[in-house]
Parts: sequence; structure tokens; C-alpha cells
Amino acid sequence: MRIYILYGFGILLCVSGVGYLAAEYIKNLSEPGKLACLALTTAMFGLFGKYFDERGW
Amino acid sequence: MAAKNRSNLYLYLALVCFVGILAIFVVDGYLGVYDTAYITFGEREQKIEAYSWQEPWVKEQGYGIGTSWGEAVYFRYKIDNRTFSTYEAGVEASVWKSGVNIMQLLDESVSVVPFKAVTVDWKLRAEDLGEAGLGAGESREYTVRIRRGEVERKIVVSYYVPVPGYPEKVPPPSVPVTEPVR
Repeated sequence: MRIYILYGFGILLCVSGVGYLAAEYIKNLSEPGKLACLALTTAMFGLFGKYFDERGW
Repeated sequence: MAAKNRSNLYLYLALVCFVGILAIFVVDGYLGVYDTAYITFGEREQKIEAYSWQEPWVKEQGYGIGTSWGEAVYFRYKIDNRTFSTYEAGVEASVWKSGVNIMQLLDESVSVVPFKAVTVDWKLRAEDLGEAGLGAGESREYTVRIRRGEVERKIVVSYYVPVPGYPEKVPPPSVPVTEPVR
């Protein structure tokens, strides 16, 4: 059980770190770059959702 | 089997999207028009990188340098065009004091072909500012404004006259030194 709590904590830190870096970096992107990133992020989460859906999660 | 292959395809496509986001970060960060300033005073050269202009304190107050009065300050301003079209703009450099334009240092048009850089330079001499010199220990600030099209950069030049060190021979006290009364 404790190992899963550690995993969860590690994943949370990774996600928040990547999110922070992305939020800082995106300030310097051009408008078309921001739009393309938004489209790709949406597609990425959609495809991850389909992947886990197919696996029966 | 087919369902597993399809789910893997979704995973691969998601990873491709992630790589695409990283590629946009890299390419978009590289492309653009960037300016770098090199300032030489005394025996030192200071480089103001393109990203330094984005610092909040540089945007608000300008980039600060300090040199002694009478010392010439040499500026080199590099415009790096990392776009697919020719960049054309007028570059102006002027000296300001308390919101008043004192002197024009540079006014010329530049044309930079794609993925090339152009450098313009000028010199700021304290005696050209038309103001009285400074006394020992005094300082005075001027703002050098660089305007490139719609973009404006500010560099605050602080002139000072250093206080002389200790005299070689200490003058004798004018009154006799007495022991303090306890």
C-alpha cells in the first residue's frame, strides 16, 4: 500500500513539474504555436482516453 | 488481437502528439527576430542576451551598467532574423535624461535576410552629452533607448567619479588630541 502512495506522490510531482514548466514556456510561444500546442494536447488526451478505454479501464 | 493493435495505435498516436508538442516548443523558441546588445566600457564587454530583455525588471527599469565619467561606451546591437522572410526595420538609438531626448546616437534602416544577422554599432561619449562634469563621489544616470520598429529596449548608463583613496600623507590634527573625560 505504501509503495502505491509513493508512486502516486511521484507521479503527482512529475505532472505538476511538467505542468509548471509548460506554463512558463508557453508564455514565450507565438500565437500559432500556442494554438498548435492546444490542438496536440487535446488530441493527446483524447487518444490516451481511447487507449485506456480499449484496455477496459 | 485486432483490438490490442488498435489500442496500441492510440497509444502511439498519443506519443506522437507529445513529441509534436515538444517539437513546437523547440522550433517556435528558435524562430523569431532576436536582438542582442554588446556593451564595451573600460576593458570589459557586457552581453545582453535576447532573453534578458524579457526579464520583468529589465522591461520596467532597463538594463543597468555603470562606468566612470569620461569613459566612452561602445554599443553593438545585433539583430538576428530567424524567420523565412526578410526583416526590415528602422533602428534608432538615443540618449534620454528625465524624459528629455538629449542626443541621437543612431538612426538607420536595416534589412536582414532570412536566417542571417546584422550588427549596428555606435559610441556614447560623456563629453558629447553637453553637461558639466561630475565631482568626486558624484554620479549621474542616462537612459539609452534603442528602438527597433515597435520594439524598444532601455539601457541605463550610470556615470560616476570614484572617490579618491586615502591621502598619501595624513594631515596633522588641527586641535590637540586629548583623552576623553570619563
